[in-house]
Amino acid sequence: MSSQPRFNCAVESDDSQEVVNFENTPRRNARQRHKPKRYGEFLELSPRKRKTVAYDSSDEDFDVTESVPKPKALFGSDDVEGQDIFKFKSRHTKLDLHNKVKEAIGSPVVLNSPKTPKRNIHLLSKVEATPKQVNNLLKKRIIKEVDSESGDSDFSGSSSDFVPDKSDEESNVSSSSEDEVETAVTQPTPTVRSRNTRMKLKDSEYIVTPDNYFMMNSSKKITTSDHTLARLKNMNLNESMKEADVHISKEHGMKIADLIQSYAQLFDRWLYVLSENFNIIVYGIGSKRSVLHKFQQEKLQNVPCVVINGYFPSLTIKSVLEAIVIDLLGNSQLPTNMSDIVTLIDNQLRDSETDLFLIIHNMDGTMLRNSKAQSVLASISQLKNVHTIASIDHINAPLLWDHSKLSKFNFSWWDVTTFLPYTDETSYENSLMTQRSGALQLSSLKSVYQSLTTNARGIFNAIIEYQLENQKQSHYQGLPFKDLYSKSREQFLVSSELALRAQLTEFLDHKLVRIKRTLDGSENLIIPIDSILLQQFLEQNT
Amino acid sequence: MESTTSVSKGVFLFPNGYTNLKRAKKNPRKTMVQSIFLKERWYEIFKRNWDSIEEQLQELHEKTYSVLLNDIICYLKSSYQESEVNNLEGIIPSATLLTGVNQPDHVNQFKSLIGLIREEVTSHVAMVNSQDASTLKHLVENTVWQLINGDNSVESEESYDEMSKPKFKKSRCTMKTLSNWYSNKYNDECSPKKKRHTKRQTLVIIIPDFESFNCNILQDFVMIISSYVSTLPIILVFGVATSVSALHKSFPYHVSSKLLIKVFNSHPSHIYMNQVLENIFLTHTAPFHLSGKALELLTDVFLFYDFSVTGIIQSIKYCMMDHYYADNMKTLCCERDKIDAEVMNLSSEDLESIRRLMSFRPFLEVQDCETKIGLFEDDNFFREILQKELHKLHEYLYSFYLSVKLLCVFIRDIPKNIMGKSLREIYAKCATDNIVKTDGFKECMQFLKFQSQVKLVESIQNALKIVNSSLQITTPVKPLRTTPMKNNLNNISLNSDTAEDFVKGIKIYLMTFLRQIEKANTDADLNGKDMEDDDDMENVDLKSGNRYKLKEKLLKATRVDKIQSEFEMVRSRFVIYLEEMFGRGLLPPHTQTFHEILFFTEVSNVKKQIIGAPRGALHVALSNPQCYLQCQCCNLSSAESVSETLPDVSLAYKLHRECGKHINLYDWLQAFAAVLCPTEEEENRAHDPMIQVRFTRAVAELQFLGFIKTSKRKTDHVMRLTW
Repeated sequence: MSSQPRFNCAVESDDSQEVVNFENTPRRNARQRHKPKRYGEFLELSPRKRKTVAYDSSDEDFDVTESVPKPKALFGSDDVEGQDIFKFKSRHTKLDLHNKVKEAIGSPVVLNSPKTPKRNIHLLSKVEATPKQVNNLLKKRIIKEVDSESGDSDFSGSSSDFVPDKSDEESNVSSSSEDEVETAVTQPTPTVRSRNTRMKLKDSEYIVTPDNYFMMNSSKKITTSDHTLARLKNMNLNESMKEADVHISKEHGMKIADLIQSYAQLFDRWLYVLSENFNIIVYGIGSKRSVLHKFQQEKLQNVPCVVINGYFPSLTIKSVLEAIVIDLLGNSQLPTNMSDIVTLIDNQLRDSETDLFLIIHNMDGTMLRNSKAQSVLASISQLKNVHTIASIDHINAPLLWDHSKLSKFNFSWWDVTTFLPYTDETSYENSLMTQRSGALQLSSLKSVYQSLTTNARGIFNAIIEYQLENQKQSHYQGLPFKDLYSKSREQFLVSSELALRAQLTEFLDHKLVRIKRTLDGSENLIIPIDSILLQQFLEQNT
Repeated sequence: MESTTSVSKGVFLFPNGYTNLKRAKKNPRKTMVQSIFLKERWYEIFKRNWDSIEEQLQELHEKTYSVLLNDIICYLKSSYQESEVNNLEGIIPSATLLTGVNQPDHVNQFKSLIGLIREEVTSHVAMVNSQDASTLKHLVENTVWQLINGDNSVESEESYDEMSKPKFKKSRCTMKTLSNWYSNKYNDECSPKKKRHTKRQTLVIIIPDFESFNCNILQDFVMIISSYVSTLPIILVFGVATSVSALHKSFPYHVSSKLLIKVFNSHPSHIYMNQVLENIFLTHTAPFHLSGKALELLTDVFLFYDFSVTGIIQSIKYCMMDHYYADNMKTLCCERDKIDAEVMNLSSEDLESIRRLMSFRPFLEVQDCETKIGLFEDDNFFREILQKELHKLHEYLYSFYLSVKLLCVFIRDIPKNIMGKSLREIYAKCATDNIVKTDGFKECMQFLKFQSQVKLVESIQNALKIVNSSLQITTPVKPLRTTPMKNNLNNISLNSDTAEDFVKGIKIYLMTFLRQIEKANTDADLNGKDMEDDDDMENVDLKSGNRYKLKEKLLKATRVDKIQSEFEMVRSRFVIYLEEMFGRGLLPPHTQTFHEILFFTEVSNVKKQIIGAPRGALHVALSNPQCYLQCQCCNLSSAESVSETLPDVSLAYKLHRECGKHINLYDWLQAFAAVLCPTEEEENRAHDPMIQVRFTRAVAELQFLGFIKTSKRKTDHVMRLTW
């Protein structure tokens, strides 16, 4: 990678306001001339106003003569400010991250040692606030410095070496004194949220204008550095992932245990709420499996329960229904129509006067994110004898439910923040870092393969090889059975078609191979696994 | 834990002793959940009160919808009787019910409609929801099946067995089977013996949520039906949430021309909500009362979020559940005639917790020393006082609600709408603070002083109606209250006037004022008569356009003291009386002793459960973990700062908030590592596998939470999904 593009990149990101303006001038003028009707209104909405304005519109039909009413009790002082969550940052530059880190680790250094190079302070100062001339000066200087960027941080890193003890001490002292104040406020009611969020500095206040949004999203260019993970030398996480325990500091561990203990006191309450035909939804960061599991262990020992892992990648709503209708209620088959199923469950539970508890971990899991699954769950949860306890994690989970589903669910919401790691929930997912490696598929493929006879392995290899060669074709249909037979015969792997079929059933059972029938009636064999994975597999096994 | 972790299964069943022997136990077994709470006293009271509220709701519901439903029923009845002659070929009579956007409430509405239709029009009704009709085939199957089998489910069990006709399989239900079935049932039967079936019953098909249907399916369905209309008397009922234009938009001409549409409007939901609140919850007979704040919260949720009456009822139920939960003291929150018995049932611990109520203190302070000791030492004495005070509280409630209603009557028509129009708004204001002291109230009274005679008479008459009706309600309670009390209470200072006396006083005053105001009518303009003559003269002058004269005249008018007419005098006296009367009647609930028992005040407890804030909770937890963890280590100077002690997810979250739309994983990792171990060389930081693992995990969790996702735009980049 040449250094030239990096220069450009840095210039633009650091002084982006100007560059973008310059580029877009003609276009923006034109846009202003045809400005949309509501543009003016839109401009006026400072983020502070948005709350109320957004609600106004929904209320117009209610009372025309009245001046627009505002919600009185909905927003309390201990709410999280929307601006805090949803604010625009003026412009994200690639140095932001860098600055943040410096701030975190380097700030005591800046205060204490005169050795800190001046340019660091410049980097720290807010880009928006600097006047143009200074900006230009800075720009030139930064261009010079950018090349030795890594050197910079090295320097600051090592400079913090000089005075680590002192700064640590200082920060400790200050923090502990603050602690006392804090804890005095928060101690008596451990479950009530303290208002720490309100203490945030106001200097990040930022007025949202529509221009800003479009500026942020208009540039197609990604203004981040071009580093890749390939720079890391030991990037084989797969092994270490499994061994390493989740890192939680000792104090946090204790506090988390306290938290969970406090949630256990809610269990009776939950039962009460459930018994009055409300359903319970728990939210908040951290895996809530253990809390719900504990609830089940302690309170639901004598009643039928169905536990659903919403994060399970091949969960279907049908399997949930089957578990209830066939396994629990003992019917022979599942009716095809959804409303029939619901009435069936309702009638049978009513007849036997039993309550059924549904525990849904991650109701927002990928397989439950369709509206059909949610409406089925809603209509089951609505039943008088069914009680649902569900957990959600995704930030947009509430978007799953519309008006009527919500009223069917009749949720009561509980904040159950645990800070526990999502070990089970994320175990199925291909993490971004482990890179779609398909380790799970690969290892399962391997273990099946190893248990095969040599002949069977040969057959399987033949299919793989054929697939790898021909997969590039746009209409790859799979390896025709006849061809496989002739290939296998050539290598003396099988003697008859029947024997080949017997071998194939093994693969079919493990879903290593799928049979596809073409229009002319011939059977084609396909391995439903990525070609890259197959390649890897071949390399490892030969 | 392990029992529910698997790589091959996502659903786990714990039968926990559930057996499928349906008829094994006939004895009514209480459900397990209820049995836990059933022995608790508070649960019993709660259950009883809620059941009675539900009954009232049901009644009210039927009352409010009865007019509308009757209209529809009439239409349904008439449609095939008269039009038999002029029935045009292939045209389906249909009713369109404009229901409004509060869809959750419609279920009840349609349920009662079906009930009424079954009673009065026909036993063949089908209601098909959009989720049961994903294809035309399903739609037809469902409808036909319900039409054919519908009457069985309603009629009693024996007729169900007796009929025992070949039940159609659902998959075989088509329009053809329907028409065969219908002709068998009616055309054949009408000729021989069965006379009562001679009248052909109509078939009603209800489509409750018109908008959520696929239009093409509905179009086809209408076309199919129209071809059968000559043999089958079918009527369609559409429930439309938006407006009639939705119907016209989704049906092209060739379809809509097959429909004979008649539109029915139902109430807007906020009117229904006001009715529910006014008739059931904001009355002195309600077993449980909401504080002003609580009511404001609930109505806000209604007005700004869901617009659903079912929703607000559920929220009130939730408040009530919270009010009663695990608190035996709240058993006193019951009907008035049961108080005495309930007080006797209280244990001494319950009494102790009542003594600890905040509102007990001001009451205690007024008493002399002896009584104080008695109140604390002697449970029986305390019980008596408690009874007395609770009865007083009920008296107070009675006069309070009446005063609120009267206030509502008087200020409803006042311009500028200072205190709100509906009872619930005024109630919320009165219940939060002492309304008489507020500016809004004073302003209202000012306006009342300018009100015209006609208006004033009208509102006094209305007020009298309210007073009379509430006097009727109380009379049956009266004998109960006069049960002889023990006489050792003499030393307790109690103001002895009962609410009923108060109300009667109001009635007398209102009547006299009414008479006076009505009579003042003729006398009022006597004084002003000569003035008017002058005015006429000057009006003539004005026409000549002398501005100076006008000015002079106005100046003169300000100097001359306005002579009050008799009406004006009576009016100002009346307003003064009103102020005084409201000053007595509208004391806010929190001034009353033991108000905590009857009023639900702890809004903050239920607010989070009623309106969840999952996103906010996530943000708070991630940006300031100390909020939840209460740990000593994560003390942050500002919400945005980072420190190494933060949980990994939180640290990664904060760092990612610094990035733009795209995040370079490598840089992110570098920053992460730099915060965790600032002392190491930059090149080596990220190479520690421990840190890599921690980072990977944090990133995976953020992805799971939906903050980031993979991006193919650039290698090793992720996309940020939030701003």
